[in-house]
Amino acid sequence: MDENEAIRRLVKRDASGLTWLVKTYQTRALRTAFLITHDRGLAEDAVQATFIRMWEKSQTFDPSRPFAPWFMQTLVRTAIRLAERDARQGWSHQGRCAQLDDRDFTDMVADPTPGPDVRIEQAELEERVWQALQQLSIRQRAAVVMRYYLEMSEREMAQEMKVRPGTIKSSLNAAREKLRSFLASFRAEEER
Amino acid sequence: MITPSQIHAALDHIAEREMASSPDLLPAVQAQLGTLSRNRSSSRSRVIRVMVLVTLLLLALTAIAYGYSQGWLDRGLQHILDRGLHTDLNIEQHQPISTPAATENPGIEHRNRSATPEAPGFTAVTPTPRVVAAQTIKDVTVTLNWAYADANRLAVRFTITGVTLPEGIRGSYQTGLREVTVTDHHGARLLGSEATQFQPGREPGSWVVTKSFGQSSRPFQEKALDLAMTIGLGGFTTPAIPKGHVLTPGPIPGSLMAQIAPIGDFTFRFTIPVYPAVRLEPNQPVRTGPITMTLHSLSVAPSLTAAVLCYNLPDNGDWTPEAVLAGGSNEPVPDSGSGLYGASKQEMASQTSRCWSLDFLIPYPASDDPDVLRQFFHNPSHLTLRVDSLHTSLRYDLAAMKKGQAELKRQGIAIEWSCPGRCGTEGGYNIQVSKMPAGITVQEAQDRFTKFLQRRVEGPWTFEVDLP
Repeated sequence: MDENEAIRRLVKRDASGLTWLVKTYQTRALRTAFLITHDRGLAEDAVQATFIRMWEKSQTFDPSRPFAPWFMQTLVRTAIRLAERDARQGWSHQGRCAQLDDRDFTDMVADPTPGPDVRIEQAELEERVWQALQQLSIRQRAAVVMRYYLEMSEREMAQEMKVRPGTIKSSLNAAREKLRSFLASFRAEEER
Repeated sequence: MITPSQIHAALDHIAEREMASSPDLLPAVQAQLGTLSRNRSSSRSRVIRVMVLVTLLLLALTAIAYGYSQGWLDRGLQHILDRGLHTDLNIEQHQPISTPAATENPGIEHRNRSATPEAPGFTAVTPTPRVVAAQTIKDVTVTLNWAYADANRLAVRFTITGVTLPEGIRGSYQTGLREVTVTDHHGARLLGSEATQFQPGREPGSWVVTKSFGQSSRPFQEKALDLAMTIGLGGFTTPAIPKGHVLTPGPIPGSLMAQIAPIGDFTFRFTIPVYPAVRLEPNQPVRTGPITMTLHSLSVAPSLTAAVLCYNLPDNGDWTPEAVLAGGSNEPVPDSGSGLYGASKQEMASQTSRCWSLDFLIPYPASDDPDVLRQFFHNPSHLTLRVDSLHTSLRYDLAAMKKGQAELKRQGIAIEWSCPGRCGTEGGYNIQVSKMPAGITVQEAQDRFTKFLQRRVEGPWTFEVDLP
């Protein structure tokens, strides 16, 4: 069975279609949800809920359209919702408001003064990104994950999240601003 | 300057690292379902949610998927029917019901009129069916026809008459069927994957439905099953697209969605014999390359053979086996479904090893040999299970796609792709074969291409098993 066949079966509410999709997408989905929620349990809940939602809504899905964006869009929204609900119960933190900044996230996690022969090791970069992500609010984190992990454009993000493009831009900028502040202190600490 | 692709890679590695021992979701779904089922409330939304969860569990728990919903009976069931291994549930009493509330027929002792044929290699059990009835709710009648069970499978046929639905409904919804649930004498729901096979009945507006359930969370080890089956009709929303209507891309508009009012739940009780499986535990290890694979067990029942395979993992990817089963002179049968086996146990789904349950329908529906099943019944001498490869799920990486395209071009196959919407590593592409040499089908060409989008470890790992 391939993806097209799986989706055709899903739309007909044939269980084997969903089985194939669960098997195929769950790893990627868990990782995406984890990057947003930073919580394994919440990530699992989000992915389960998304598969359930997918089954509920399968009859309204047009098999001629790509499946992955539909699935990932639902997953991101679900992960945000669960993480925010969790945060309201006192388990998370909320970032401060954004200041517009044209600088890109990639600038924020890079060493500010790398010479042409300086290469940042992948492990170090991962650590920086990981620490930086933890400084972001849930929605900012989701914006970063959509932009850099799921490789969506800002326009696509706005369409799929059903918000105005400006809102997405603000979220990304807020994320960048916060990361810039964080990395500045990170560097200062390193220098001491 | 760090590039977006480096950030992507960093995020990918972080997620992989942090979720390195990412669980299979099945046990968690199972736990969630159990809680919800016990706390089932009367609210409609709650009921729907539970139904959905149950449905998901049915898929996920054993992940045995043999969805032959489009055709009529698969050959395994057809042959079982031809040989009379099923239990007739003839109508003895007709019970009209005036309200749509769930009702239950109390059951009537009934002796089956058909003798159970002996199936060499299996010990048949004398059937002692109870209850045979038809029920009517809101002018819709459901009649039980027959049931069959072996250690790996349960199948029930019933007829629905009197359902009137809007034109253009597709799939099993056109029968009015929403859901079928089966519980055992302890009240525990049988959880296994489902297949629905249906065709129009003799009378206008009637449908003959055969519902098949895969092996449940536990195999059927009893000599007989005392079951309660509830057939839920109506109470769902589905597209109703009139003939000739051309859908435009995008979600189906609300004007084409039909809200089907609830008709009712029809509950029947009956008892049927279980044909046991020949169960073998060869624990046979075979090493090819870096992978050692072990055939843990084989369960050969009249309608379905289940194998449990365990192997060490190349890494923590979602490595899945591709396997075929051959017996006697039959063509090898690809597995009809598979799923993680015993994933709730650490030793079964750890980071370094994994076990899969594979199902093989007997006889293979695509086989032209009318006596495939008979051979398994009368000559159960030897089975060969061959695992051709392990592979990960598809990843639509552009570099890999271009590499595949170039390689296939050398084989005379032209592959094109387009992106109708947003495409990424998860898919979304339309892959087209625009040219291929004679003797190669489009499907074969596509299969060759998709192999470039997976990580693969080629086998084979071959297991030879003698049946008693």
